Amino acid sequence: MTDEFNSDLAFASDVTARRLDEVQFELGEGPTIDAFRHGYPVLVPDVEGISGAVVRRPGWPGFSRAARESGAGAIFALPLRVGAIRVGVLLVYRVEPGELDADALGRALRFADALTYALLGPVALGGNGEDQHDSVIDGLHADTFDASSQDLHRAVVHQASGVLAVQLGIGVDVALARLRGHAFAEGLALSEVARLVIAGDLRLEAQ
Amino acid sequence: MENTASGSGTTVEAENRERRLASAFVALADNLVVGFDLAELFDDLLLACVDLLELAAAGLLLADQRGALRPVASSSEQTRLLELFELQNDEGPCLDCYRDGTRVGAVDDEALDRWPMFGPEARALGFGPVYALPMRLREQTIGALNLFRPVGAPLTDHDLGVGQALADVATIAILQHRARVAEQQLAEELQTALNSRIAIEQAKGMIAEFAQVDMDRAFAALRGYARSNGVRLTEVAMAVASGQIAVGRVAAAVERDGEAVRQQSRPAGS
Repeated sequence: MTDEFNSDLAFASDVTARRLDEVQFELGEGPTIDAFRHGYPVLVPDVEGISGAVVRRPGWPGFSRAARESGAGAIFALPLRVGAIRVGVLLVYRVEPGELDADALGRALRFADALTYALLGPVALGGNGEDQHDSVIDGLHADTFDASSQDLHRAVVHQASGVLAVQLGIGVDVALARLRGHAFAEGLALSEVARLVIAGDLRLEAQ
Repeated sequence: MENTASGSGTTVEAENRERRLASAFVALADNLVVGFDLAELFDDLLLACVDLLELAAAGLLLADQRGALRPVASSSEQTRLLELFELQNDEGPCLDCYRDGTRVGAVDDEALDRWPMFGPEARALGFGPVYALPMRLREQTIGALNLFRPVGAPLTDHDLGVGQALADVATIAILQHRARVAEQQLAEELQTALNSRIAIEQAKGMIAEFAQVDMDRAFAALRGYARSNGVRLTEVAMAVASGQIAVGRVAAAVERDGEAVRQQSRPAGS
């Protein structure tokens, strides 16, 4: 899903998941759409509305009914974002209603991070559908993600994306992908590359 | 207007301070209206904290719900200070505070002994006494307020009480942001605040590069542009970082002559 008007369903685990995505696309409303548009997680622990959760959400008159019919008891939409960079949304559902406890939420957020960064490279740098699919799967398996994941939360990395974006006249998403690519190619920590770019000691060329 | 009472210690200075304290709380509470911007509130809160407690520096860190603490606001945008907050995921007062949910503090050399990695780094920036005050919500600690004083100038218990009250304002602000208090909605608020901070970092980098200024001036330009145009800091940051607003327009708000718009405490040696 790249933007709400040209969203692509990248992967659906089963019929229910696919249906939940389709119905939102048809109706133009729902947790995935809100999560993408507003950039925050949309957590619906009780689709049936016993706690009134779905009913109380503004803007979902049609989705509420369709969600109940889909057989999902709980739906959780996690935006895949890095600041202003929007990659998509991860929609997770459970047949049984109930909240995501702290452990489950932590796992879901970490997985969403991994997915975001696995998608970010190929989405930002282009490539065909099959290449993208393979590199996403590789990215999810790569040990390199864990090693650098703390770096991906460092302020300098995001500042450097901004610096490089202005230097090369590119978007911050492409800039971040360039920084990560350079770090990987040179065997450097991402935060180190970021510091060098900010200090002006490393100038990456336009591609 | 002199007003001294022997033995009680009441002075004009103390009365002024109490007045400023009350004004600061009223101003912060006034901001808790529908649709306020959390990033702006956090920034105002830290500036109030630094002013009222005469701090060398301060920071607000939030739990990211993945097991780490991340800074979402800082009294100064200088990189070494931001990294001092990030370091506390491994060791430091904020980590201890987050784990135990209690106030943590160490004065001068105690900090060096207690945190062999964090302590010297804080001292290198000119900080002596360091404190972390918990942001508590029911049984959970959702973050910490990190305070730094110059060497040899610890905070009193009264000061720490003021600091805790400010940490509580930050917690209330998160809950009040969209008038939600349920468990799942807390996740929404925290993740939004954390993601907003990333957008602010991205925008800072762009402005700093475009205008060839440091991060403090870049951040001040973001706040100045938001204020002048009656829009929220977070929205401006998102718009700049996504290219919806040309970076040059916001960079025009950069202050070049004299002081930066934003009050800052400059730690020694940075």
